Amino acid sequence: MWLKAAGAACVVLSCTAMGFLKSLRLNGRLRELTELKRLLGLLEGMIRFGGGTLEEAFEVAADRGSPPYSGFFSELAAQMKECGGKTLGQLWQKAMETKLGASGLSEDEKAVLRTLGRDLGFLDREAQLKALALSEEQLEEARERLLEELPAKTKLYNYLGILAGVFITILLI
Amino acid sequence: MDEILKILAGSLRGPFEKAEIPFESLQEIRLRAGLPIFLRIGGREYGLKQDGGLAEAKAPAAALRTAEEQELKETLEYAGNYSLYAYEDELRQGYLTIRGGHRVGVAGRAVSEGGRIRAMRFVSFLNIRLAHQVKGCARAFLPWLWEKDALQSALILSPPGGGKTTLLRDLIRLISEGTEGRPGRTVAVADERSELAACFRGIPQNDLGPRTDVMDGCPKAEGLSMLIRSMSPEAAAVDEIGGEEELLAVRNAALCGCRILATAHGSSREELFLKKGFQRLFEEGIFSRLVVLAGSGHPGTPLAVSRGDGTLLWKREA
Repeated sequence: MWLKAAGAACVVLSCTAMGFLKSLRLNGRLRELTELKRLLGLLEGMIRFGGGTLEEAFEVAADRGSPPYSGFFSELAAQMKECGGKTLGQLWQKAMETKLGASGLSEDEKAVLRTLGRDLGFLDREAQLKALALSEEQLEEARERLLEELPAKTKLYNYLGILAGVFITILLI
Repeated sequence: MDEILKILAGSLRGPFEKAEIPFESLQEIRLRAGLPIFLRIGGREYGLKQDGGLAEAKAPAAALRTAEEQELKETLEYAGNYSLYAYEDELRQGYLTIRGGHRVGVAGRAVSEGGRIRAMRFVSFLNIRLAHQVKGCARAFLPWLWEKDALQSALILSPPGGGKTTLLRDLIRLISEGTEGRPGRTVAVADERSELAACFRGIPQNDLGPRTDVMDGCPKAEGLSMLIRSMSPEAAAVDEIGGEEELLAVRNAALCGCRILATAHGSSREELFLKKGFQRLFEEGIFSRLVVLAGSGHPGTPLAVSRGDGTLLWKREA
């Protein structure tokens, strides 16, 4: 009897934790979107007013950003310095794979970032700024959507976790 | 050579590495979309073979490695450090200066607006001109630039590729360091194209001496005026003057008591005076020395040094 009770408690607790984890990830994704948008704004400012190169701008973004984007921009700047015969699009793609593998961004949001990597580098200043502004706008839209859905989804995942635990326990008993 | 390899497209690096090019005497690499790659080494032209070796320039075109359009695009992307937007102003003038002071000349389709070039598109010709700091190359004719203990304002004249920038760079270094019996002077350099000092993030990569201040990437005329105001130099150096505004800035700087060291395109005094404004600078005594270089066959070799009024001071023996 005690064993069954302990098992049931474990099931309910782990399902609840899974629900909470899922809602925490949603909050993490929101934080990532906010951070990414802030860093793209920083890049835009450096290109518009700083007059420096992308490598310098990425180094500043790496210094001022938080993980995983600090690592992403730092990796990019290091690769650009090395200049190993790869285009910026290729370096960007590789840095996304190695540094943003565990990112909580959705596939659509990652696609926005990938497109930006392809557009940067071989453009004039205006086109460069427009590409950044477009990405910022798309990320802002995604952020607003998420912000709107977040309270309901957080509740949903939390309750679903608990209810799933209870449901599985009933089935097992 | 590494800094040059780094700006070449990935697919071009192999053939260049195999060619074992002597970097010290490499002057130019010419890339043209769909055409053979040529190099100028020690004043002679060579082609790059398909397998990477060097061939005589007259070798059949089929035996030479051609540059593809994509390779030029990639090379330009690397030369611009993936940030061509940061070089827009330079590109509008047809070149960009890379780390080390080397210059990449570009040609292709220019986009103009209201009679002025707005941007370069479809760049299909690249000329990578290597900058070499040749320490000591100005030492031989330096004494001609002094009148007793007073440094004279000098204009160095040569056709493109004649080594005038190399000579001016060494002149700045020698004047700044000081030579036997002559203490170092404060020199200010208006280095619009980053060719003299080859500044990277504001710090000169070339040795211009311990008493040299550099205004990097600033238009020559404006840079010169700023330096005179802010750094109170005894001598000011500027490369490739020619525009009306630049000549005016040189005149103003000289009238402030500053000695001027400058270069200009041309092959003789007569040719120079056909250009607007130069004759007046000599007549007014702004420049009191004219150094004429031999030209691209003998880069950096002075042919003659004359006073401002044309009196010959020194001439190279034939």
